[in-house]
Amino acid sequence: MKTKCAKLNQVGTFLIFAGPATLAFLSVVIIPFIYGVYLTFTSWDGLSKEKPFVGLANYRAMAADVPFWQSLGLTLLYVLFSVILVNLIGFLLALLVTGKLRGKSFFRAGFFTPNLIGGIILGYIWQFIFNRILVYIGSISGLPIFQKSWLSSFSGAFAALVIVTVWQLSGYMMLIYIAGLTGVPTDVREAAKIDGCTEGQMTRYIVLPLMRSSFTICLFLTITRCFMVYDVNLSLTEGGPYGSTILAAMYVFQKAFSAKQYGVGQTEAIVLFLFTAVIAVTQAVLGKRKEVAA
Amino acid sequence: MKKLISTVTAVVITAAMLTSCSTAGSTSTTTASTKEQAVSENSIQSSAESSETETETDESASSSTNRQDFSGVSIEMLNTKSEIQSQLEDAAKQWSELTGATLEVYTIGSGSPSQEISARYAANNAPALIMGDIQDIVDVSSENAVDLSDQSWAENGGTKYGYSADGKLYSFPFCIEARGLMYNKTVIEETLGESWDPSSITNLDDFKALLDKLVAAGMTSPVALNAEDWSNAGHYFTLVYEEQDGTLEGAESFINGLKDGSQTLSENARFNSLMDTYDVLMAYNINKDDPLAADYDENAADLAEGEIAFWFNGNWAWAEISDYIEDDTQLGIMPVVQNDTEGNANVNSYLAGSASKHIMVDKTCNDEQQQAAAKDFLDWLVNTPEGVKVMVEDCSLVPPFSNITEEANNDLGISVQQYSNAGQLFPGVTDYPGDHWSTVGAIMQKYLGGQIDRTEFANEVQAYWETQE
Repeated sequence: MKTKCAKLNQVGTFLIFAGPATLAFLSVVIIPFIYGVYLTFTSWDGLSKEKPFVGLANYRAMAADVPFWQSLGLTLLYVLFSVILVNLIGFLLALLVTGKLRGKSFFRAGFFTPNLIGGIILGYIWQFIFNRILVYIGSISGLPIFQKSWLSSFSGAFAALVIVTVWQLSGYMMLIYIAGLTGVPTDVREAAKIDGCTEGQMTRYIVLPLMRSSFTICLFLTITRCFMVYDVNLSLTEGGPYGSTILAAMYVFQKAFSAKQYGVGQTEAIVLFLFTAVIAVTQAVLGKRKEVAA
Repeated sequence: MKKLISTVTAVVITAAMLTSCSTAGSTSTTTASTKEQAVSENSIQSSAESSETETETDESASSSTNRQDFSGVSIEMLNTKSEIQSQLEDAAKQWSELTGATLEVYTIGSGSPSQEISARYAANNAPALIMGDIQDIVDVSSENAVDLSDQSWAENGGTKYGYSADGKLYSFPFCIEARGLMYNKTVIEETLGESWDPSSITNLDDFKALLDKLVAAGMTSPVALNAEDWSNAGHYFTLVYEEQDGTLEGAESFINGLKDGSQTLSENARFNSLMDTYDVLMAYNINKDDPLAADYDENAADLAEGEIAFWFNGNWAWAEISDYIEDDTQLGIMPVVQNDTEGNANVNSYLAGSASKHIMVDKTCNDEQQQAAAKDFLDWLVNTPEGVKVMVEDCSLVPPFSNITEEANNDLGISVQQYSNAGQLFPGVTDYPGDHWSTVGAIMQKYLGGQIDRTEFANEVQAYWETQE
């Protein structure tokens, strides 16, 4: 009787704490995901009631879909630039606002603000800046770099995407880095100082190794967010000029909903997921391995 | 013991949650299935009902105050003409007050109608009234649209301009829109110092001579071209199909020829003559230095204020132009003139135009009451003075219905009405693939930006068609 009671007890406790969350997670993540995988084996057009089973045809179509691989390649390039710049700038900002500086909290808030603006609005604001304001500056100052709108050439539009992403995300990463920096115990710092460390050496050999976990988190967050980016892509360049900046998420969306090939689009979405998952998890595991405790 | 009680309550609570969830799920599925049944079984009944509505509205046309009561019915409308969003919201309010129903009009900021409609159907939550381009309606109508052929407006032009399939009328043609070269007559005459008649321009040579005269008289760039893909591919390039011989059959067989390779785009006479004209437009383009950064609103302002004389667009642009125009400025639309008229002698005297936005009534995600209310809103638009006022005056549209005789409220609309009354409109093709405008648009933007030449352009478009089934 007692053991039965205890078991029931355990189940009860589990249901109280984890029941609602598990239910929600199952119904909005796991089940749709499994259903999504099922849809990759159908030639559904996204509208019709019938979802004809076609086996692996979508996977073959995906493998032969050159523009998809191109947009995935472009996304990789975008992730590479964005992740490096976001983390570099985020970390430098964090160093800046934890050092000796007047109005620290004002700067912290200021750098973080861009992250509070939604991606769509952010894209429209920057579109206006790139298309009109910078061109206007170019026309009155004669600076050749601003003569034409950046958004009307591929390299310019790509750079614009990276710049806007960096502007949006580095403030967020700065917050995490600040937490990491302030989390390094002062006794270790003092000990290092007594041993004759300079400021630079202290950052390099004491602080950085002790805040590795912040880097792991920030890299994970930026990698996943940049792979999945859609809103900024949509509102800033809309894939243009001439469809040259269509990143993977936008490509998948167009495939599924404009070209009405839901099955193929879904298959490509799964591939995008696998790519992101493998890269992000590898990064997290490698990062974890090098973490040290104070 | 206490522990046991708490465990039991926990289990009960969770079980209650689970069951309420599952019952909610099952009720929703049953309502969905009854909805479908109701639709299929009661189609006779509903048509009887709507014929009642018809007679009612015939009476109410004179005294438009007593409409059928739809209290408690709530419907949604997708508006894909964002320039008339506020006018439609006002119309919805007026109609709601008469019927007691709630009509919520929403519009999409970016993305194409086709994306929005697929997404809503994927969510099984489509609005009752769906406005779309004709190919959007074609894509979804056979499974989801209510047959509207019993509505009173069907005879007055609804069947002629709406989309029908298998003897069923699936769409309410919202407005006639025509594309062409829009001109600012006032500024042309001021610049040249003489009176100017648009009908004096009968081919590309005439047009180019006029542009040169304007340049010589001090207007450095007399033309504006849009950068948007819908304007370039959806409006300009589609002329290549529509003007093959000016009929839908001709356009269709040409497109089929592109798909199976029996037609070569780069050798096509219409393609080449239209591209000749496009090259001239590009050469005199005010946005020439950076054509892909052209701003739509600025183009509208430039035409209205006389910075430029010509803009390739259509009469819907009145919404933007009216913000900038002075009362005595005269505007109009003329055909996209070409030098080569081989295969189609009318290219220099016709506009390309047809019912450009269609509204369908959804039957998959909306119950019978909602469908009836949606039909009633459409009826109100056509058959009451208030509704007509919304379309003609507030929204500045040219409705395709013969019972509406009011003259359009702006120069562009009047131009379109003239061409339409004279029967000088090339009909629009109905079944472009959903990604035609974005894909061909991207190719055309490359051409506009000087990245590729005409041969490469033709080859890329041809390649696009060859991948279509």
